[in-house]
Amino acid sequence: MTSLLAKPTFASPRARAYANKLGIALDHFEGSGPNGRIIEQDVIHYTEKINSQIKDLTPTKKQHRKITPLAKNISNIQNISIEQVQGSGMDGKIVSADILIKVQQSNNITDKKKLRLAGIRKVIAKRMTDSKRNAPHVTLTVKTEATHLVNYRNVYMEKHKIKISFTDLFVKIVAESLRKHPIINVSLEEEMLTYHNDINIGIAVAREEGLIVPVIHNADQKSLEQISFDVKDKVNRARTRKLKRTDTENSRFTISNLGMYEVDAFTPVINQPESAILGIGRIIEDIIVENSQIRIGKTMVLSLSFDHRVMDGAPAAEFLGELKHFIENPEDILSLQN
Amino acid sequence: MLIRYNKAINNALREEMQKDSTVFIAGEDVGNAGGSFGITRGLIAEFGSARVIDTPISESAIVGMAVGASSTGLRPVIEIMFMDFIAVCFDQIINQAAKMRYMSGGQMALPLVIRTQGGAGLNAGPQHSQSLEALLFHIPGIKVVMPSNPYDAKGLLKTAIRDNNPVVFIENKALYGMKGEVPEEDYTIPFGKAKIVKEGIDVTIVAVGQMVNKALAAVETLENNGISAEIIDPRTITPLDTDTIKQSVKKTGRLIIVHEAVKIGGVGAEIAAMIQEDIFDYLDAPIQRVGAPFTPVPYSKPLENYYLPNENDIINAVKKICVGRQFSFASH
Amino acid sequence: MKKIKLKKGEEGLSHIPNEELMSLYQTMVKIRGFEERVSSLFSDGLIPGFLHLYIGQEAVASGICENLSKEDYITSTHRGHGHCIAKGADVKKMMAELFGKETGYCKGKGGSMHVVDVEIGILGANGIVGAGMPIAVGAGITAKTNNKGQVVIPFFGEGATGIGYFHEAVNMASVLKLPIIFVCESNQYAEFTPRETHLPVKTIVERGGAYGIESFLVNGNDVVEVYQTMKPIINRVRNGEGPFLVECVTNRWSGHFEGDPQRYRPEGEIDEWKKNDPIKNFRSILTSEYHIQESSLVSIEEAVKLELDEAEKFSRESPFPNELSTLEDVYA
Repeated sequence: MTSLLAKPTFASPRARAYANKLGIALDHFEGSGPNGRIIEQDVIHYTEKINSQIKDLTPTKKQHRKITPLAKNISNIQNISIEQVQGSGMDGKIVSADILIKVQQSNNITDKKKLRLAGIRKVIAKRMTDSKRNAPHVTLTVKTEATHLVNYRNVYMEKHKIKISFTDLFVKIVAESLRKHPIINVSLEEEMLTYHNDINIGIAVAREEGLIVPVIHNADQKSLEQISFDVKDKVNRARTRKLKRTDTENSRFTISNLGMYEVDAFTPVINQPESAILGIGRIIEDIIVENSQIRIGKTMVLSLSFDHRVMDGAPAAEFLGELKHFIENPEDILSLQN
Repeated sequence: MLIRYNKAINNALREEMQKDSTVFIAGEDVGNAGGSFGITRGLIAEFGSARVIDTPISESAIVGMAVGASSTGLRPVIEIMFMDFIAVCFDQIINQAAKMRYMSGGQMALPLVIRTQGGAGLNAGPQHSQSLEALLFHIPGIKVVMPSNPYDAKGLLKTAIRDNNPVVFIENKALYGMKGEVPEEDYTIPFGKAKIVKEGIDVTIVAVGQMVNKALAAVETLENNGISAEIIDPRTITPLDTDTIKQSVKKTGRLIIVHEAVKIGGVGAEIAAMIQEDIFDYLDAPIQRVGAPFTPVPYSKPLENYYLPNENDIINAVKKICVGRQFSFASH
Repeated sequence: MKKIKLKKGEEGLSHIPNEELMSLYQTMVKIRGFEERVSSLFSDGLIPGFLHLYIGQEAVASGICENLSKEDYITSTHRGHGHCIAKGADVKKMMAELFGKETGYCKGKGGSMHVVDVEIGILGANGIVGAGMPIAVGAGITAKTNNKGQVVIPFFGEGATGIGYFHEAVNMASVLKLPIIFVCESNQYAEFTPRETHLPVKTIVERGGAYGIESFLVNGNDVVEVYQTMKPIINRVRNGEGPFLVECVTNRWSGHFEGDPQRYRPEGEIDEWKKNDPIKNFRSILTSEYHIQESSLVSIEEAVKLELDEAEKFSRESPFPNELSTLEDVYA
């Protein structure tokens, strides 16, 4: 029997709904709202705290440490947190030797840390497992020439005096291809296929505490500049934990861009209830054989995973062909004048 | 061009009368006198006394006349000099204009506009300062428009005149002198489409009529307090753009409704009820209403100032619910 | 003020062609038959709500509307069946409306007090006493604007002269010189209250003088007198004169509404009036003075009965409206 003396927990409907979605009981949170009411930010704060503990058990308070440029580079490459390093230089400045000792130590560590999955990491774990378990994934890959795309981007940036990323370009290209292949713009939930009219592209963004997918809504109706602005804004807010819930809702198709890493092709996991995801590999200099002529150009590999319950290989292959076409002929959708 | 709210309304009337010969104006003092607030000035000279009709002081008969004329093919735009006087002609508004189409099983269309003006701020006293839009908001069959600036006033009045339903067009006497940019070319503003006057992420402020401008005046202080407010002007309360309000509240999680009318039983009560019915789980704080106290509008300057909601009332309401760790730096 | 009291036959019996006499008789019989039929269907529980019957007053609506065409407008009252039938309404659609059926004039949304047929100029029976008069003023503005000689006739009872509408509307119509004939049917009772209790004047025509309009007193139980008095007045209005006021003195045989036990009426009063039955009187002069064949009258009576039988069958067999149609026809 519950005690009649138990203190009731006050939480806003929004905080309550969000906590419920994450599967976290209300008594974990410390309310900062009016009269100590738990609000959405308290839930966000809690999950971020939990995640940062998983990643790194050092105090969250970061001090400004003096460090030499070389030591900083090594610490970055070796992923050494400088908070724990004793500086042996002038005024406690960290020098490269201090870092190298730490590297040695960490390589020798045999003790394992054990932490229970929680918060966002737990959510990601569950979603990835569900997706892999429920959706029979098939991944199609195709090598694509990116020479024109790279040139196009350079010319565009020169002409408009703005910086655009490859991700911006891929959002535009995927949106346009989805418009031509509505059969891909589908979600499957509880045995119901929903064919969507809006074209909303999710972008997988890596963060310390785990992956998040902000959404570029109605991407087909936006100019490249608008997309670029939207992507920058949402990626920044994703990294500074300032995304609103609406920023991550109603994604129809996700792009996972690993082009900045040494990755050529991979098998991305579908962000359910969507039915496909595009993995983007790095752009490399390559030998291109065309009409029995050899030339040097740039290539990349596209990896499209699709849910075989929703569609068969042929429409997915056609969609992938469309993407390839647009990447090789970017002027077909992206006019330099816009 | 930069023109005042009253001129924007005058221009809308003139242009619609030029465009459509079935449009006519009737009301007290609207002809040679040009209206008691000068809104119909110059129209009788251009269109003659058959289309700009001076009537006796008979509000009931003026509205009734509009019902009869609109159901037989004309487009009357009548003026009820002060909104307070709609109490005199409520039978024609509520039992006739609002219901004729329904009672006739859809046979009748009533393309009539009742122009009137309300609001406090000019020391006009209890019978000449009221904001009675909630009384009209409660009645199905009429549309209710509340423009907050010259641009909207002109575009919305044109839509009202072209609409095939009874429309009550509520001007605000305190706004007649407000200047604003108004295009020379013909344009209309659709009913039921709210305007996001300013975007923000922390709190949604829905304000009607004159209060839209008060909310805007509160923005800077709020920004200095680290609070980013989104301001929404519904522009028409019937039909009400509930989608835009809901979208915004889904984003911000917080809602303030501001109107000049008394708080009790006001439009804000309905919006608050609707939001909690439909999107309760998006609310991160209790909905707040800012409105006048439950008294008649007083005459004397200090009393009327106390009565009328202002930017400080809005700021206080916002601060009351924008409490939490994301706002914490503001309190230091 | 000018009072004209015409005596029966003053302008000569021969002025009325036979087909018009027959038409007048048919209208009166149809009104009486319709009212008796719906009264019995009401008793059987097939017609719900309130019914206000026109029995005893048939000469007024018939004699007036015989002079009108479908381009002319009337507004009616809660006791409106007679006016609508005389103006040419389809008794099938009327009766189906009383049944609350989908096939009724207003698709079951109006009922007895709201029969409307815009196509033939019936701007609505009306549940609010006096409310039709200002609506008629509006139709008068339309008629004047159209300049095609249309006439507008608002019907009302002497009880409605107690409401502001009468004074506002007659005054405004007089000021604006509109083509309207205000027709007061003095049936001796304002709901349950006898004339002497609520009227400080002997006749309503006396009130016309206050608004500077010519007024006429007519024996409303004599269809020939009503018809012949109205004819020249209507012609004057068609030629640009107006407005006018006509009082038709008549009797209400039935209660204020069906089921009203009429305890407020002195014993024997109704029986006295029934001796002066406008239909019986007209029928006897049709045969005796106008030399119309008895058989012609019988065939009119039979045709009317057949038409009402069909209307009843139609009304009984028609479906009720789909409940979701409740939500339709609020806005155009």
